[in-house]
Amino acid sequence: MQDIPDDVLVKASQGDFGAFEAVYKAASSFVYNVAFRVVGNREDAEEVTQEVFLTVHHKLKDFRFQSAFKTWVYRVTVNSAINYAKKASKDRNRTVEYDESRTAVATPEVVREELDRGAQQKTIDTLLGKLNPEHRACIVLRTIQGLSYQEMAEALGININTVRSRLKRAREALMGLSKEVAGYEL
Amino acid sequence: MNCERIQELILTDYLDDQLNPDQKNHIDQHLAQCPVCLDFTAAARKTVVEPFLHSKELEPSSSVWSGIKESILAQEERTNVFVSWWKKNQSLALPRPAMAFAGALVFVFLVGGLNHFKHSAQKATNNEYWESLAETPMALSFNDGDGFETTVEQYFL
Repeated sequence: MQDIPDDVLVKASQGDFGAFEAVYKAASSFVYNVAFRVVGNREDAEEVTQEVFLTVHHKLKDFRFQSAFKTWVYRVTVNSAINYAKKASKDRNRTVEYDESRTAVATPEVVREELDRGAQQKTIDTLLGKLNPEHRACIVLRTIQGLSYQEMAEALGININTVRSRLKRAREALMGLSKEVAGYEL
Repeated sequence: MNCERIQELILTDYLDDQLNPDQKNHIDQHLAQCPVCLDFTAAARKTVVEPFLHSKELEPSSSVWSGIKESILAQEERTNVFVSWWKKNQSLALPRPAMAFAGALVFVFLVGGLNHFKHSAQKATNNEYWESLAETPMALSFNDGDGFETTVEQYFL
């Protein structure tokens, strides 16, 4: 996420709509990408993005700069995306919110084929589709967005060792899917 | 450190460059001697790191900002309607300074008038009482018939 100067945040918190638009421009890409990777499709990701910025706008006047704005946005985004994914999963009576067709084809053969074709985006979707929303959020924050373990702990509201433990389990699951592709036995 | 613990660290801190130099050096020394853990590291890197590197950055469509803007403006509109309604009704419910002063004045006069009326009534009652008392000794003190004895004396005599 791009850095946002404090004076822009102060103006936005005082109701300056132009300043709020600047906040949106600086943070929307991060919010949308995290949401997209966690919920699995553009339409839902846009809904989560909208929800995140309405929350930010509503609560910005109470933001006291006691924590970094970035950390706060990370947290709002991850919580919204995970909650949305869980709710969607429940509503649709599915184990994951990704399209059934997508999860159904997440076999080692498909992963191998995608890797061979160099279809990176498809591979990412396929791999993430095998994880639960919490594990997916961990992979996205660390491997795609490059957050440190400390930033992840703050964003997810968990301690740093739980971050390690979730990352380990998520990566073990990914390796489990890909071990035949890589020809590696755990 | 055994291979299991080494592989746990490889899956987390090692791949993510979160180890301090001493810890990293320790794992590198182990990998130099252990082909199993070395293979594990290569497989992990290929499976859980590389597919996500250089992933395409997506941008939300312009309709997202439009939707946010519309929602905020609609919310502000609702708030403004409420605020103006509140101000309008507040001016009716709560008196302005002049109205408040006039109201207080009327209140003082009413209370004062009531007190005055109560005092006057009390005073009238008192006057009647004293007047009746003033008449009573006369009745007790003088006997028009005999000239000297009072009715009291007459009673005891």
